[in-house]
Amino acid sequence: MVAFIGRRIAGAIPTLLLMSFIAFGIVRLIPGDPAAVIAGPTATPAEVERVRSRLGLDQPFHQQLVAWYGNALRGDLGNSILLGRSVVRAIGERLPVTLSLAALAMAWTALFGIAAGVMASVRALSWVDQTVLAVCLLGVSLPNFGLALLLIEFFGVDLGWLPTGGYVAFSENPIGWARSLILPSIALALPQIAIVARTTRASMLEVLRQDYIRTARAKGLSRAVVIGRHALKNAMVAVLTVLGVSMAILISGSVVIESVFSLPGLGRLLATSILTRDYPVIQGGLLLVAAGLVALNLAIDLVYMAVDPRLRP
Amino acid sequence: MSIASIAEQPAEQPAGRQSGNRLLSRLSRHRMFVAGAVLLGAMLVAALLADVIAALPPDRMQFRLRFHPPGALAWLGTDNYGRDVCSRVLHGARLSLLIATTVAAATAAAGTAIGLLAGYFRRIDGLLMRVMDALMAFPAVLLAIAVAAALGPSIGSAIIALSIVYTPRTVRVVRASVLVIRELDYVQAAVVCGAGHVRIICKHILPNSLTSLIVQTSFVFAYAILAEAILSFLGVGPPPPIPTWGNMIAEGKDFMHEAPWIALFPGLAILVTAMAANFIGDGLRDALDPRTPIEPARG
Repeated sequence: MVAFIGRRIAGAIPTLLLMSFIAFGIVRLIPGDPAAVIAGPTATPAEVERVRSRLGLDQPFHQQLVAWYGNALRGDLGNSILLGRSVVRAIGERLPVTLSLAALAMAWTALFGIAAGVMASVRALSWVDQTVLAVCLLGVSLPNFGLALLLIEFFGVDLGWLPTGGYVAFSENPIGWARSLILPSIALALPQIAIVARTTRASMLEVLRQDYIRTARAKGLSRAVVIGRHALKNAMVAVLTVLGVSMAILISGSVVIESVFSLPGLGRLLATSILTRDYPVIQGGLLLVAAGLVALNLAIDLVYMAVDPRLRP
Repeated sequence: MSIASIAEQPAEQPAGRQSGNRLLSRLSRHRMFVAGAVLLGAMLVAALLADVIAALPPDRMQFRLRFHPPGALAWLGTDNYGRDVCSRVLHGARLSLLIATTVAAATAAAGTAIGLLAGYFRRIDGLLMRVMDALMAFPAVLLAIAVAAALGPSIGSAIIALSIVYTPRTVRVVRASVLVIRELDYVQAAVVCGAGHVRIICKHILPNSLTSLIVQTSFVFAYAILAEAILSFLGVGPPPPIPTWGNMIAEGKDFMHEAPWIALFPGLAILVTAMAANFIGDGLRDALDPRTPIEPARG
């Protein structure tokens, strides 16, 4: 088991190196000179050069890359050009927002996705099934920022039940925190709920056809036990794969949702940094997000093994 | 385009003609596929006839008619500059369909080429797939924003950005099917007969991996419609005077209360188009998989 985890982490290193290389390359392709922006419109060329060398941007690409890797290994991702603080701190401030949002959206996804999928599969082709499938189709075709605007308009403005945007830290006010995240997390989760529900339904239909389900029913087990313990447990392997992918998509989708709801999260930080050419934040943030996704995939593999003994090494 | 190409593709092989006809008949009985094809076809015709259907050009500002609700004067209302929303939605459709079609085609071409190479020549598989993994490790939206920002906001950069984002996923699909097909007996037989790599790939492996590629491509089209709207919404798509569904929603979002139609109609257009593409993808998947029964009774 330890050897397996070690191998997986070692296998992720080339991916992370390549990824950070790509991130490093792309941000330098963005037109515009950050040194000139920081130095200000009235700066003389000499001042711009001074800023450039302070940021290390005057060095060749490969030297910047090596220096950055060296510092990253020591936990130093450099300083933000525009925010006046270290990249680690800037990300640390934003991370709880994105993690709260993604965690809540993930909870909706797992809860409603699996519940709707199971309900649809045990009453296949009934009106329940048809309704779930129709809602799923809407879910995967709806632009989630559009849904977000509708939710804000309806629940935030017309009914006034929930805030239209902004974030309240959990430590400040747990109820305010939950209220500030309900609408964004629903808007973020809906497409994923749809995908998870469809997968659960398909996977359950496959399992419910198996002989051992008939056996379980024949020996008189209750409906709940047959569906919950016998069918769902086996249908979960396919669902877990999709949940893992969902988590990655939720992180990606948070960029848009955070912008719509003005949540000060990591996705919005990175999107803004790309547009303002804040190189260190983009590089550091993307590296962290990618490392997080690699860790997530590893965690999913471990859960697989816990669920399905056949997959254990 | 994809429907015609599947119908034609097996015709090259003498025994395949019948299966091509069978596929068409299976597709025509698939209610969702038919609905999707009709919706997408209608959207395409409306986009092409945008100048005929909408009386006003999309950028004509009429300041006395700002925020005019939908009615006889302007079918879908006017926006904050008094521009005709209907005209803008239709002209936006041209752009969205153009971008999504190009992205789907580029992704299919690049994905097939890289997927075939990776699946067939195992020596370069490791390297190619690491690069694809690295691209997929980026959150899709951020990678698209970064590429679009690097290239400057324009139609072309939106196409390139989205193609880069979605190609790795298509590569995976194609490679997976190549890995299965290359081990099949008839491929081995072709090797024994002395067929070269190019012949084996083009004649034996490619035609049989098309199924999963076609299905994947129709979903890429749906993603591209949504993703282009996201890029425009965030301000890195084609710049504002150009009407796109995404930047119409971005402009309309400030008037959601007073004039909801400004953002609502482009939103509906995105929904309908993406749903039609999903219908087509589901239909193709069902029709191409002989194990799925298709009865008119089941949608």
